[in-house]
Amino acid sequence: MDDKAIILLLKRRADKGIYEAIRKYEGVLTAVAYRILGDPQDVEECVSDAFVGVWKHIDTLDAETGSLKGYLICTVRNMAINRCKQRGRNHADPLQEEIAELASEEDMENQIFVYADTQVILGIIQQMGKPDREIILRKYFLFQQIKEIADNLGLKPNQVKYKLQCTRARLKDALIQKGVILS
Amino acid sequence: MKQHSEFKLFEEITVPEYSSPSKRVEKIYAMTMKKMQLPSSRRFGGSKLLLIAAIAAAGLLAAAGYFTASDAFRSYLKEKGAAGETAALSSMSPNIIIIAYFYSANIVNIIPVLAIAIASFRI
Repeated sequence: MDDKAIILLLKRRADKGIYEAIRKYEGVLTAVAYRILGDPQDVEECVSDAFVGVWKHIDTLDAETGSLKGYLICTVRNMAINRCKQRGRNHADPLQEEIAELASEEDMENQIFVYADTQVILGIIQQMGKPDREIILRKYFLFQQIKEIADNLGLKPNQVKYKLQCTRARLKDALIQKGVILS
Repeated sequence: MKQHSEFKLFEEITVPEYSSPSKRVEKIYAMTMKKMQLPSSRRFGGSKLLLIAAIAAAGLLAAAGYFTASDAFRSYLKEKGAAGETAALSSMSPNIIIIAYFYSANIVNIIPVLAIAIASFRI
């Protein structure tokens, strides 16, 4: 079933829509949440919370232009980070340390990924060109290390760092323009 | 519908193999429905509903087969001249009737019995 049909079912409050969404996207959401949380039980809770979220807020998603997959990935990612934050900072895993750092109160620049409106973020990412778009997604959605991103994209780590710096600045400007964050 | 190619890269990440995808889908669906306070109606949807229908059909066929078998056994006893034992048939246990069922070589009618056994095992 395509996304448009699923969104329409969800808008009609048909539970078949939720079932079809779970069947289609459970895999990718589990993968994203698992990278952040690492615990199967937490992952399942988080993924089901994301589907509850889409059920509750389906009216904000346009069946013609909205990306259900993107919406769900952003939702599960934000929920996983919040769940990670609730756990505290006792992470032995360096990746989890980085995630906790991203969600910290002091790091305003990174806060945008946690609290900014998912649709706005999606819109800005869509307008970015390659490889900036992919760097942002790999860094903040898949939580890949700079070296991992560089290897995947065939770039040097320094190039990735520089592009990331520029892209983050552009993203911040776009969010300020849209009134999501204050300058 | 607009293509969202930027999310294609998510397809390259693999799902950890801590449980089978179908089990995860069922579990997450049940959890989601519980959180939304909706009945998990699809839990018994699809293949499970078919399985239940198959069990019911097999039950009916088995009942029909059971009576056919007892008739076959009666006929067999009559042929063998053991007419006196026919009267005692009604008081026999179901197991004896099933043995007679096999004995009368009514193999086709055993299918529903096997269907029930397999369905019960799967449930």
